[in-house]
Amino acid sequence: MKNIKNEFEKNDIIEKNLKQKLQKIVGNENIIDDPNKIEEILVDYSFFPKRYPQYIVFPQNLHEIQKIIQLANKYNIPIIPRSSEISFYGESLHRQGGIMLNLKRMNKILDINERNRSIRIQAGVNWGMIIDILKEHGLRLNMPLFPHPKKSVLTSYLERYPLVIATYEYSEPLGALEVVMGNGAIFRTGSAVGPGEPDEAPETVAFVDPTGPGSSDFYRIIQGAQGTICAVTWGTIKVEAIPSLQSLYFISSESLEILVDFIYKIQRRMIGYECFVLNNIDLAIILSQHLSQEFKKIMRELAPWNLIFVIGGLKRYPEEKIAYEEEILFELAKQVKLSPQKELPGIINANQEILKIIGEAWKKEPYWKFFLKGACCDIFFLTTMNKVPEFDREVRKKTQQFNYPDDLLGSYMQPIEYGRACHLEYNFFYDSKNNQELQHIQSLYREVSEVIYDLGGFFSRPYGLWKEMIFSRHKIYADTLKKTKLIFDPQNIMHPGHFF
Amino acid sequence: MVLSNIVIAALKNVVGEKWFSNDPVILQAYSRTRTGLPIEGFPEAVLLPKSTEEVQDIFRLANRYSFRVIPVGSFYFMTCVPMKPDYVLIDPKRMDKLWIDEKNMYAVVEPYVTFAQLQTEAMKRGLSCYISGAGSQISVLANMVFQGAGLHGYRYGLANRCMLALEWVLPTGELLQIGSITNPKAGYFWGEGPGPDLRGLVKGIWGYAGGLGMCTKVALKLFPWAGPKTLPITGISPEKLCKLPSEQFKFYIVKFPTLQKVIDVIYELGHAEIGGKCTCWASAWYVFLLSLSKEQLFDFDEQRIFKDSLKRTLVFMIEGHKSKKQVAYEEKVFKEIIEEYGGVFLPEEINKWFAERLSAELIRSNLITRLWRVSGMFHPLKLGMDTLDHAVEIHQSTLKMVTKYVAKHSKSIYNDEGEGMWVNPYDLAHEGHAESALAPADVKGQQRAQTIGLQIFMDDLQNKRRSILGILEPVIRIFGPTACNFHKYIYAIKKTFDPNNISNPPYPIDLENEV
Repeated sequence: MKNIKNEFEKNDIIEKNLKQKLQKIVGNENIIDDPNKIEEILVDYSFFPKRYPQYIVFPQNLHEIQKIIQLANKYNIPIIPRSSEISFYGESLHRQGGIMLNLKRMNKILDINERNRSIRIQAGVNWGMIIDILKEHGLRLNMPLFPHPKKSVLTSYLERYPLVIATYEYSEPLGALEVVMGNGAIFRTGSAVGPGEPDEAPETVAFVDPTGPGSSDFYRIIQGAQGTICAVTWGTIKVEAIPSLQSLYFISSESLEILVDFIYKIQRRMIGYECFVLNNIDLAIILSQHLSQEFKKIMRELAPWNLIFVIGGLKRYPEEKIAYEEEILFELAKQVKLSPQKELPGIINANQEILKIIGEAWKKEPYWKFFLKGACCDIFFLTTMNKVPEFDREVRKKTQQFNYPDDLLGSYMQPIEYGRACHLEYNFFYDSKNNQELQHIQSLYREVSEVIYDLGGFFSRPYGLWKEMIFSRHKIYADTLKKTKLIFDPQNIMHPGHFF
Repeated sequence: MVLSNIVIAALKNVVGEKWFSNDPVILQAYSRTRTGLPIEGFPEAVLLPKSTEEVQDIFRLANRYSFRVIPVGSFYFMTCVPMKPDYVLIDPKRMDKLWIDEKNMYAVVEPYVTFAQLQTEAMKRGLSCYISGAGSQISVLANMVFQGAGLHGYRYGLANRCMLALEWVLPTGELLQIGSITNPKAGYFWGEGPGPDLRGLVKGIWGYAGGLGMCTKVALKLFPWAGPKTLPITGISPEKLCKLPSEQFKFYIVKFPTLQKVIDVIYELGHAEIGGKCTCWASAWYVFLLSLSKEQLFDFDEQRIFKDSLKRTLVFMIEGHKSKKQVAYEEKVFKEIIEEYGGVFLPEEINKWFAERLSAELIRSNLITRLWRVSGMFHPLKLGMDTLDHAVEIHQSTLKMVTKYVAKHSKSIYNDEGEGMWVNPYDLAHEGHAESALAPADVKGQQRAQTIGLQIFMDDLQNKRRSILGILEPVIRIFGPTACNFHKYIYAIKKTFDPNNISNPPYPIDLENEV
């Protein structure tokens, strides 16, 4: 009894000390411990049980972050970095409480380098902030499909969101990173490592090289780690020139097999920029919100599968480039009896609207995934395109067993790197306030995920239940991950309990 | 220490008597490599396993009986040579299978498959592969897991991005699978994850040089290839010619007054997203690549052939993967850019002469071994990596120091007059890499190359340039403290996964010498 009392007293002292010390680091106004406010700030759209931190702190620079992580080590308090104002997959939920390191105030664009087509940004820069600024420089990012404006740009790349342009070979646009490791040490990857501090580097250095230093690619270990190894403060990202002219086509089909075959052909010829497939549900949601037309009407007009394909030309003779790529597009379409169209039958202005929003963050309210029923459960994985029709058949079979309506099942396929692989995503729309529906979706999520894994789907980004599904089946991989984490975070304070 | 009879019997038991050798005559052949320092060392035995399982068993035995293991590929780099007694060497000659998934554009290779073999098979299927600057004759897998900068980088980026799923025998003998192969039904098509990308654990800008176990299978990206199914090679070695179909391939050498001008043009070409291959060579490269014998090299040198005429050149090739109209479009844009930047094309006939001799070099890196022409030695002096502009700075900043030194020692180092330089763009000029090298004429020259190499390395450190050679023992201990102490993490990784220090010590860092 005495021991327990002592423990309580000790914890109480730590708590008081901890808060005082956090206040000293970030200032009184940059720390929150009111549970209601914490709940308000930690917006997570997944259906996983909400677990909250005890404190949210808002550091504004590298050294404050370092001090906070050092403090967390001293008191053995969990810490989770968070750069976005929202999350979708439960990746920022605090399984073991502790401190949320909210990087919202670190939202500076440190460099826009037109010559090297790169930008260096802090972790708190989100999609809503960056696109218009880049436009002024004639630049754009190869970006995810209609990202949430409050999602951190850097985190999107660190979390390996699929990118809509399939023809750049560099599907990993990340350059060098600056981080604070779980052990409290400042570290920089790639060409940012040194010699010396970043501000001592020659002017010709733009920190664009991600590799190394030395025998390990630290940026690879950090990306996909979901905050379990370090806190990233800034990173460099490759950007591209905005085409001076663009031409968008819809290629619609009743058959997923034919469309997949066609995408293989066009990607093998290395033409076009944006290239992705939406089913009629997802495309109808996007169009109805922008064209102010009824969702169901648009959905009925659309073919089940729709490839959106954009050809572009840069500053030199863009018409000529577009013309020869269009010629290839039509020649290949003819081979599989598909017809690329500028407009969708029965839907006015679709071409213009999609072109307008394709390189933008989502601006309408609500976010497109929440339009139909207020909430959305995504199941996504990687595979090769030739396997997509089989995955689609089996996923639909399973959803039918659950009596989940077909007209609520969104689908998005993103070819990657000339069609070498693809991201396949299913969007299950549901009403999160309806308990019965929520439980139903949770069961559906579990069983569909198992079906996908058993068919050979690769969950490269293991969120939620997928973590257990994968790591329990591959012990050596999981063991190697654990050992790797402890090299950088020996006290296991970074997002403990998330992976392990 | 000589391997005990128990160990020898156990190793023979794993690979079979026929595939074990400790014959001194055989071991002599494994005593030194083709690159780097003049290191000589003898393994206690050489093993030729057939499978991943056999490799695992060798590592397990090494942990039990405390001997050391060097896994090699095509035995190219100095780290293949034992630094102390008690080493056995794994020669993967019997692990030479390759598989190609034509539809999804990737191949899976075992360690003894060379770039030439892979490319030959890929081209038959309308595909091609990344080939590193080290040449098509070397092991794909060993090169990819070690370094891999190359001429294909302009379009396809750094070689390490070509690696997809892989299997890796850890020093403990455990088999680590990385990427999509962690789901056995998924195949080898993807390299990242699940979760953190552990490819980053086993390979950085350079690899672990055998210091972290052995990769036994890796999947690699393949790329569309619209050229002929076999390269149209004519002639007899060493003078082989390659005449690529002119409607699909356009090869150019363009001269510029300064290196900076070449770099400005490469930026512009990258911004225009045209071309399949693009690089910058100085004159010494032409002397090396185009001389057919050592005698001819010195003839060229004496008569100053290439030395004055090709000082700062852009080498560029248009590849018609899309259509003839694409080739015409890119040619039009290319010529416009060259004109804007004041480049000088070679006369058509001369350009054709070079095209027939060098265009295949851009595709398959086949002539690279001619850099060893002078004496069978080659010494990479410095490598830099960041922007193309920084690549220029890397080269020019210490040029005077190097040329002065080489001129002073021109009997023992081939005097390239500072022209042994190569600048290569990556990802359509998003990144650049500068590399310069010396060709020692004898062992003394090799030692002198090391001396000047260390001097310019220290100068780069002092001036905060992104020179990347200092990542293995012993220079990692000089570079590490100036660069976020990264050597401490490398030390910790080696110690964690090679607890008995049996995997090719002291690379990449010596565990017996604390950090």
